[in-house]
Amino acid sequence: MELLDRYLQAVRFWLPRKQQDDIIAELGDDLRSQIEEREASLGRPLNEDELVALLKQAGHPLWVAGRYQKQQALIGPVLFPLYSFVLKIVALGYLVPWFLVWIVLTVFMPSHRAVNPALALIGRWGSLWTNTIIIFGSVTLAFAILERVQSAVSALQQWDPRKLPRMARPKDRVSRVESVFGLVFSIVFIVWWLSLSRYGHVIFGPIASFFSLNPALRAWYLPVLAPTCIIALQQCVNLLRPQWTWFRAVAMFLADSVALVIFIPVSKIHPYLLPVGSANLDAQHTQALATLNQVLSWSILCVIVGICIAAIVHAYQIVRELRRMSKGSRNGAAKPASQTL
Amino acid sequence: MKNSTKLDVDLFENLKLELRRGCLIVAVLAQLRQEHYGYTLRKALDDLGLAIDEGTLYPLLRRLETQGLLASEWREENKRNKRFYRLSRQGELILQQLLQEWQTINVSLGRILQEA
Repeated sequence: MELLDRYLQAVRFWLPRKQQDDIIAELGDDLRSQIEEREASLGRPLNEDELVALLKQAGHPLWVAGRYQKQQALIGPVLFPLYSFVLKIVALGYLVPWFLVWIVLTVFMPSHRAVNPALALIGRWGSLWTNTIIIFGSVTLAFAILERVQSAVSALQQWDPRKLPRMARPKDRVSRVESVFGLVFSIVFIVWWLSLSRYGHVIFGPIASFFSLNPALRAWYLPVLAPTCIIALQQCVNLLRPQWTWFRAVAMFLADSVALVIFIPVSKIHPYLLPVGSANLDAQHTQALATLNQVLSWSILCVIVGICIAAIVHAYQIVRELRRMSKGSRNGAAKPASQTL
Repeated sequence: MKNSTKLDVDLFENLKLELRRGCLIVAVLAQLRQEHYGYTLRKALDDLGLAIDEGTLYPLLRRLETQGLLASEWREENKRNKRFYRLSRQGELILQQLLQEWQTINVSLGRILQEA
């Protein structure tokens, strides 16, 4: 019976302290009764293998003891959907931007790559995971506390169905109002941009008399308008064909791609601003020039990250449009050709 | 194909577990209208076609006792201490209500299956 005692001892270890004796006495009696009954039917004592089989059938000590514990979950089924939603938002709001910024810095900033590239990479990944664990741990802890006090949260008890969000309208059309305002905005931007070459000194005021753009940037002056022109074209088309939602997604993605093709080489031109002519600047202006160049450098990097995020979103919208179209054709929805082409 | 068969088996086992959970409570309460200790209760249920393992039965007995539906006492029998359970007064009332509910569900299910 040594094996049985060892089994009961193992079960006892995982039991709540106050109930250990009681449970072990009852469980032990049951197992002894089973052994006695088996021995009576065989007419001999059980051998070790038979005893092992009987105990294995009773279950692993941890599993057996676990059945006596109060059922507990760190985050229960009521709060779990909210917990999962918050974690997704955290992942999208922190991890994705971090990853994009890291890619942009590594690809476009030689100084970022130059300093101990391997060690810097390991260090940065280390800090990413440390921050991620801290953030996820904090969210989990907050929800675990909320789980314990949720019965006291009045929002879950007192609610009014009339205050639930309105039904989301399926976006099967591009709003004409949106197209008109967008088009006006695009035209204003194009006019403003074209006026920069002639009236730059008026717009930039006294700065224009000290600093001028790096001549290498002049080659990109007109191409920078290409993404805006693509978007303006999309707005014109959607003004006439608002049901072509797929066209907007495609045009936006195209504009993002063109913008990336332009901004990536632009980000490598440094410095962006130079002193006007060959004038020697005083210390104050030299400092201002360095600061402006740094600000411009970071701004362009931010713009590239923003365009990358926009490109991902627009690519997702294209996939969604394609799915919607294929679903429509599978369901045999009799859509007019004008809506799908 | 093999995976889908395994999924089907797992799904069936889970659903069976859910179906049995409530039934076992009714069966245990009903059987404890007569006094039993754990092992004889298990044997009695098994003989009547409702097998239940010790890992399920004993925690269930404790839960039902905590809820006031069962009463228990330790007594010596066959030179060993055994814990005897029986239905409490409150347990009898709850069992009556559960059996009534069971009948209603059974009749409804019968009608639904007939219609199908």
